[in-house]
Amino acid sequence: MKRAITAKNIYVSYNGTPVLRNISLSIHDGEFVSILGPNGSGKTTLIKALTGIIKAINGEVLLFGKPVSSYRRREFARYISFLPQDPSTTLPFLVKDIVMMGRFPYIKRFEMEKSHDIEAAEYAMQLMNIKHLGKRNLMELSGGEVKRVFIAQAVAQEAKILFLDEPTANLDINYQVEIFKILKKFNQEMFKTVVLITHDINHAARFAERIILLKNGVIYKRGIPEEVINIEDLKSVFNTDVRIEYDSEHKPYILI
Amino acid sequence: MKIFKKSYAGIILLCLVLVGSFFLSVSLGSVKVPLKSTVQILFTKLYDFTPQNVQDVQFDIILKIRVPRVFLGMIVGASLSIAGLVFQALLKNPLADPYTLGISAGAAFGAGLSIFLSYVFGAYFKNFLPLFAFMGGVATVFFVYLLARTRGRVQVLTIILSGVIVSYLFSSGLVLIMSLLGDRSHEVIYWLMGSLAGYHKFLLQAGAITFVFIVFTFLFYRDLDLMSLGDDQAKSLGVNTEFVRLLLFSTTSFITAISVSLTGTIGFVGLIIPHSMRLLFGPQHRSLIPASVIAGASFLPLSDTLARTLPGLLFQGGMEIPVGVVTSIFGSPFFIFLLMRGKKRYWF
Repeated sequence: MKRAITAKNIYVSYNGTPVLRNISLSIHDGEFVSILGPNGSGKTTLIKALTGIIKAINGEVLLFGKPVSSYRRREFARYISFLPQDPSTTLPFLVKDIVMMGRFPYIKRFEMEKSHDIEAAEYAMQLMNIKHLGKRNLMELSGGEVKRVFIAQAVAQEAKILFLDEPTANLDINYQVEIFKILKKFNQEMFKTVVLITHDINHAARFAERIILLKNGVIYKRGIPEEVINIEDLKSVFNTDVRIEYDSEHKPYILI
Repeated sequence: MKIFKKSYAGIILLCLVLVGSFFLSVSLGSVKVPLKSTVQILFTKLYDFTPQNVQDVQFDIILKIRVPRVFLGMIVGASLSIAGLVFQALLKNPLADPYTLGISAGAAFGAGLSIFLSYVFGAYFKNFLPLFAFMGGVATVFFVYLLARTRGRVQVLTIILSGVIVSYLFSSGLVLIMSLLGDRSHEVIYWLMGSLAGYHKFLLQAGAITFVFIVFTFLFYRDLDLMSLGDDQAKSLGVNTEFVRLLLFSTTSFITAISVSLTGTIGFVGLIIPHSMRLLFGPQHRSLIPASVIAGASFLPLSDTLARTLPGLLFQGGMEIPVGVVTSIFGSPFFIFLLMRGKKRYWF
């Protein structure tokens, strides 16, 4: 399989304190990868380093074999989209405007939105079930609705690789499952690469093909869910005793 | 889907307001020229016919005094409005105005310096007042930006803080100059109040430069929308945030500095116009930039007309009041009215 993203020995520090140390990893085209780890283990920083939002002090990130820095911003945005942990805006944009912002990398400076841009935005709103909110002000919506609007924005961006920082945090359980199912559909039917951070070990185990487990800024363990989700490693990383069972598809899930 | 359709009705309506404001401002004043004569005088410039019942003195008042003054008001109103709008968007702060980065303090220092030099070295230095004011304003913005830049990144809060600090620095410099000038410092005070009466040279050049910069700034309307999402997300959607911020700070500061150098500091326009337009047109900069530019170009000449005519109506031949006073006195109730009417809650 083709390598979508390759990181070689990334080192990131904030004001001299190292946050990521010697991270090397590769993410293949079409993979569904979940990043797990306790608070402060460097998950968000890792995603920001891989999406070019922050620059690593040492090391190199390659996107389809070329250094991240060699891409122009617009071009880069057609390959990679990133949904931050707590997306928001300082101005009272309407839902449709927020979703249409996802089309930015495709619209030239002297052009208006084309019919394809409108179709992409409509499709994204339909997929995330927010079409009825189109003319509503973002600031009047609930936290879960806001999250869906911004996922729709990422969908409209039509990037090959989706990075999501806790897409299901603060959502009701039905939306949590729905969002994971949509992302899985994206991954399998439209061959998108999905990389997400989650705190829900069971969701990660059920939906991800591969899990990267972080601890104190280094990769503690990586592999298929069956390898990573085990009592000893979880105890060592999260400092908590868990019990592990297997569902009908032989995927592991934990009980606390 | 219909929700993505756009309407231009509001902008067209504003254009009509602009035309109305122009004719009204040109025809009203201490010497009354009927609206009909005003229109005739303006059109003799365009078409070759001589109107009857129009005195020569009315020609001069309209074409040599009022039209340049109204034109200056349109340039300054448009510049301050777009600058306020862009500063509010880039700094993500509703209280930002064109003077947040210290342009007014720097320009005032430059103006004060040229007045001081005119007393020390000779009166011809006063001709350089707009140049000094312009350079003072531009230099301040660069200074503030350099100060706020740490390791290639610019934090919004640091910019605002740097602006405040540098403003204080230049304000103390100005106070020093005024104390040295003693009784003669009234010239500086008059400049500080802001007026459209003073400087009517190079108006066409200033207007052309301002127009070009406004159009250039408009090309970045999508980038401005996206930057309200925060730098991280704007970047991941393809906006070159550092570049856009530096570029738009430069263009808007440049036209603000031109305005300030010609009129002194006129407050409130850069705050009230963008906010009113945001309440009427919503937050998208595609309509917000043209709306603010047109509204600003209508609002300032009208305010100036009030400043010229109101004292005459009240006290029989009183003098002019500073236009900055009018923009505030008549601007704030209008602003409050819009706020109470507008149901779109944000920033307040």
